[in-house]
Amino acid sequence: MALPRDFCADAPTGPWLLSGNEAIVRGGVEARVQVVSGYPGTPASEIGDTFARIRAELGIDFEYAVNEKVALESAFAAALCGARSLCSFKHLGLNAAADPLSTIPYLGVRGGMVIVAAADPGCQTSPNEQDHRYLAQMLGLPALEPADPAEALQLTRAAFDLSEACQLPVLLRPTARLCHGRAKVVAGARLPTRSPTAFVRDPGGLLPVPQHARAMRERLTQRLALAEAWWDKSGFVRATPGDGRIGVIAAGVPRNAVHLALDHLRQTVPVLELAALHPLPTAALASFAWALDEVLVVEELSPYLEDAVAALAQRLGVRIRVRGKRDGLVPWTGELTTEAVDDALRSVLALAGPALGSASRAPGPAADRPSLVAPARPPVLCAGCPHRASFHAATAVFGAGTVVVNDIGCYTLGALPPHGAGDVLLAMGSSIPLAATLARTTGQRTVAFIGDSTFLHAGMPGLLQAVERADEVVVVVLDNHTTAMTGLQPSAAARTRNLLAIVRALGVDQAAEVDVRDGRALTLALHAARRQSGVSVVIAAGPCARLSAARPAPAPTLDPDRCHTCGMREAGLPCGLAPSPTVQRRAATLRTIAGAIGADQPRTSPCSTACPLGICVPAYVGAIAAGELDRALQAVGARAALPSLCAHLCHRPCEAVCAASQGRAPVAINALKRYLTETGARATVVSPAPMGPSVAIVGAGPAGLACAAELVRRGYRPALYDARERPGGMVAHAVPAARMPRAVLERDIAAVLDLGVRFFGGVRLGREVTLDGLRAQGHAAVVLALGARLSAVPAVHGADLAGVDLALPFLSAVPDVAGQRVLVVGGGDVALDVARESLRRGAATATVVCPEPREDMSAAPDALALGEAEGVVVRAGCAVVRLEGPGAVHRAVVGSVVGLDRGPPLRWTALANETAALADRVVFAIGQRVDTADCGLPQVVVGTDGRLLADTHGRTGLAWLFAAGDAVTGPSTVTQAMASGVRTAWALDVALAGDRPVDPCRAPLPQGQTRHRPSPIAVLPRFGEIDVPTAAEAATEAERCRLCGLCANCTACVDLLGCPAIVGGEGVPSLRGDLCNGCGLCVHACVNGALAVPP
Amino acid sequence: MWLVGVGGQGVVSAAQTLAEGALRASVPVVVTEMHGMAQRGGAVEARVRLGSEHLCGPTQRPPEFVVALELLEALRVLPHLARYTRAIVDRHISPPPSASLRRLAVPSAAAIESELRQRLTEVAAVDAHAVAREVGIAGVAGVVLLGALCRHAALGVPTDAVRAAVGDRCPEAHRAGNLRAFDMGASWAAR
Repeated sequence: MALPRDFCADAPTGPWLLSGNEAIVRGGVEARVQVVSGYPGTPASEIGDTFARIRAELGIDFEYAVNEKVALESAFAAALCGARSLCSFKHLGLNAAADPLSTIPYLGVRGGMVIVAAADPGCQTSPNEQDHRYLAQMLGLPALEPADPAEALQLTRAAFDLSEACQLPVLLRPTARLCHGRAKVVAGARLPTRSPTAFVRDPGGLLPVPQHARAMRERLTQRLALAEAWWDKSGFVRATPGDGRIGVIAAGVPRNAVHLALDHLRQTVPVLELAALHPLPTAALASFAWALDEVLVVEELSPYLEDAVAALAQRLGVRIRVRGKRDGLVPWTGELTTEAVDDALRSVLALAGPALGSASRAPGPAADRPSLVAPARPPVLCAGCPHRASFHAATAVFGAGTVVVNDIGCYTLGALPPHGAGDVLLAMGSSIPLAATLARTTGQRTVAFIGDSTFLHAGMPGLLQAVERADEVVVVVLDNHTTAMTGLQPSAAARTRNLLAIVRALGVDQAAEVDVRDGRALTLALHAARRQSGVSVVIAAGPCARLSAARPAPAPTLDPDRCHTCGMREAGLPCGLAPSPTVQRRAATLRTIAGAIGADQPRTSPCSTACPLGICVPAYVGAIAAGELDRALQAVGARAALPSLCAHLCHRPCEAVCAASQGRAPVAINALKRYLTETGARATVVSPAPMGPSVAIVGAGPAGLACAAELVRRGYRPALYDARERPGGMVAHAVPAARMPRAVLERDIAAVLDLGVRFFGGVRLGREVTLDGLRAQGHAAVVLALGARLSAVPAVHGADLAGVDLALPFLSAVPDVAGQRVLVVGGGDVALDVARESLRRGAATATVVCPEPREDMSAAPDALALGEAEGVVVRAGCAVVRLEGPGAVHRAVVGSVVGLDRGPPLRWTALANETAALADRVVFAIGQRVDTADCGLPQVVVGTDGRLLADTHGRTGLAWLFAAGDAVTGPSTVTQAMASGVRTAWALDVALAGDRPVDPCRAPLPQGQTRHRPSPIAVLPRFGEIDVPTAAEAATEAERCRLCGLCANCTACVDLLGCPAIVGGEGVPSLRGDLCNGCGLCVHACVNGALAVPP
Repeated sequence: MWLVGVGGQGVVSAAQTLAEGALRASVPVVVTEMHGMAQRGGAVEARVRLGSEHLCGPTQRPPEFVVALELLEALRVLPHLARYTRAIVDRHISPPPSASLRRLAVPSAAAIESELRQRLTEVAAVDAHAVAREVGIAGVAGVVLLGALCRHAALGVPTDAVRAAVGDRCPEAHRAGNLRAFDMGASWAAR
């Protein structure tokens, strides 16, 4: 704010409109103050700032001291030499200065010394509203309190004279309302120049060793008595006569409210106004009280005056009733409102009539109008504040579990949302010792945030102590080169710029200084600090956004093609799951460390693209890493109705393309899914009350079950029919429990049935029901999910011997193979299952023979590896020529395949080196067919090879008939069968919907690859087939996921940063160019890489 | 009167300018300001009392005038106003980051203005930011509203005195622009 042009004039001038702070400065100017030392602190900051502006013109020695103790000592030393000095700070600063202040009255001053300590009733900008009038009493200092700026000027002037008269520093105690309030002030003449200063030796008066101190104490009493003698002079005590025997004593700004209230009440009662707080003006008080029966004491905060008046009256034997706080008339806390003073007066004077506060208000909102609410506007870090980058990185690195202690400054705002970086806050410099000892007590590594000014003010001793104790603490020094919160006063750090050297000199070996604009370096430095032990210091340097007068850098540009988009949404598969701030923060940090997202980065993570069901893998893996199991389950459940099937039987195309692998193992995505499904929790599924048409699904295997679940979602009432008594199909009846644990399978199936799906077991198509019959029952459509449940029959001589089995019947009811030598013909998963299950059941040996070379075997490579580890012998590239043995099979003749026709179907054409192998049981696992015999299927649906004819979405040549799963594709994988069921449900919905809009298809189109492809990486995964990772293992493994791909539901820039320049809303956020200073934090924090620095 | 807005808009400066004008015209005046957190985008309020020299504590008594440099702040202070409070507002909304963070609905400018007109006898809505853009000086929105305020005879401070204060308090280079902004505010309200 501009000062009046003639603010420094020697001659009387004005009138001006001055704030209390400015008036105090002018008072000091008029009194020829020579030395001023202060520390910024609301509401006193402007005193120092104003002296800073005028010092050159007036030749005043002004400094922003490192802290209030030093400020006080600096001012005292000047006063010791006969100079007039002033120090100013907020009330809390007095506490910091209290140690030297407690002994100064013993030494006394030679030149006048004024201490301005500004109070803050109502805690406008302070953590407490201490009443430091008691401190004056405790230490023996004269204390004054002005009621308006004009009086502030007068009192400041007079305080210097008072100080010299009694040789004690004088405490001036303005409150915030006075400091910042403005009123008319007339300036007086400046005193003539003062003589130069000199230090005069006085051992008895300047060395308070015990022998001198006692004498000094006696002198203090005399000095205070001198001060009291001043109170008779005008300006310190003002008595206004009045009528009646009830009076008012008032001090401070509330004095004005007393006058206002008395005017309003049209009362003229005796009023005693005290600008002198200590020593108490006993004479004036006594004569005032003598004439009264009752007195109301009006003051803010504690009953300091009230108690003193009561005690005085008691001592003097004056019978007077003292009213005020002690009897509940005057509030103890906060500022006194005009209304409160009015109420107290009316009560004491027993007046009726309207209270001041009963003024008419605007009517409230009309009942029929919507109620409008202005969203809260708490203070936030400025747009472009470097501390935002520090808090963003620190929150990501340290996570929610770390105890964080914050300190006093702008950066205290980091404790508010979205960062929440602050569990405890105390006083200047407290962060380091608190964090250090909390680390010791909790056994955890803790974090302290402290600004540069605060660090130099009071942080260094704490750091030294932490080094001594080798405490497990990370100290993040937020260096913005200034003291920002109080008005951008220079900080000692800015002048010296050697914080790193200071930190190292205090003994910290693990210290680093980072420019916060380099997000990557900052994140890595914090990571390193987190992993270290003992004290680590990271100096996060970046200039305050308000410091630089230069043009700010231009705002980043937002690419709408990358924001709020991912490939899944474009493919019609939006997941609708908003990632939590924890996950977004991890993703943002991963991006920051990885650097800019290249244009060739895939929109969708490769794993999600490869998933036949279209599950968003980063969504659930990221949630597991963040410990958010509910969200993870929701992400999986959004696409997979039977997640345990995926978790145990999926062919894992995701892991084959995992970007985190890079030659090492991919993220164990499948094992993580097992972790989720084994927790026992189910994602909450909201299904509408089925009101729609009934649909029949023949076959309750994976395809049928998935189709049923999807149809319920779409409002239909599906009924499942299966030839077997229990649902599940192949998975429940032909996959060994060692690969598909029954408990979780039953749970998933039950969950589908619990949606309201009816199940009819023991019903075979063509026997118990027919297609026409189903339609006659009222089903609007029929889905054939028959599976491929017939084992292919071998054309090998001797296949009719006893002991020769087909794979699926073998697995459905495993015969006694104990001690037998089992030979399995086939190279797929079923062959492996047979071999491994045989060994589990006590077979002596199990050998797998298949004509294709090993690398072409369709069995899952890891199942192959596990099988071999369990003892299965694999002879790839071999074929069985014939089986021999009288009655039961005893021997198999096996040859090496030298000629192979890959068909399909696969056939060997030439063999060599035929040898005999002993075998007690031979099982053929050479393929599966659809069982369409006697089903009564229309010809248009059945293909030449027995498979049903349908398109990718299950549509057949008949409008009401659909087909899904292995029955259409031939033997495929469980996941693909389920995806087929989901697609078919969509096609059915479209067919029956008519004009009603239909939700998009919720499974992607099938991709070319339908079987396992041997991936060198997928062999022997860390977690075995049915291993369930522990929570800790799952979290660690999930953290390996790099969260590739974009996220269409991302809100990272809005939710993680809380920058005023980023305005969120529906969809893409907007950037406010008028607030943005181009700091670039959002650019490297953007998960999708949608923000860029303009060229 | 109460002057409200967002930190950095010039609320406090406008209050001081008005008070300077009063001082020049020898009208007793007292100003109180809510400081501190205002620099960090928080709400700011300044109160100017004309005809009194008592620097009082906070009061619940509704003001005769409210000058709002931002509409959400006008809405926020509305429950404390009286029906007779005359409002001079800038048609400008600055949503706080908390609205984005907590997904709070932000009422539209039109809705707020309508609400103010519904509950107050007199509302003058000025496009002060548009004037500021036209004049080419950021931060003169407060000056524009002062111009609009001074139109009221009930104010008790001569317009010339406030205008002179505006001129004196701004840098030389911006003087013409500031005075133009003031005049445009005054003429706007006269429409």
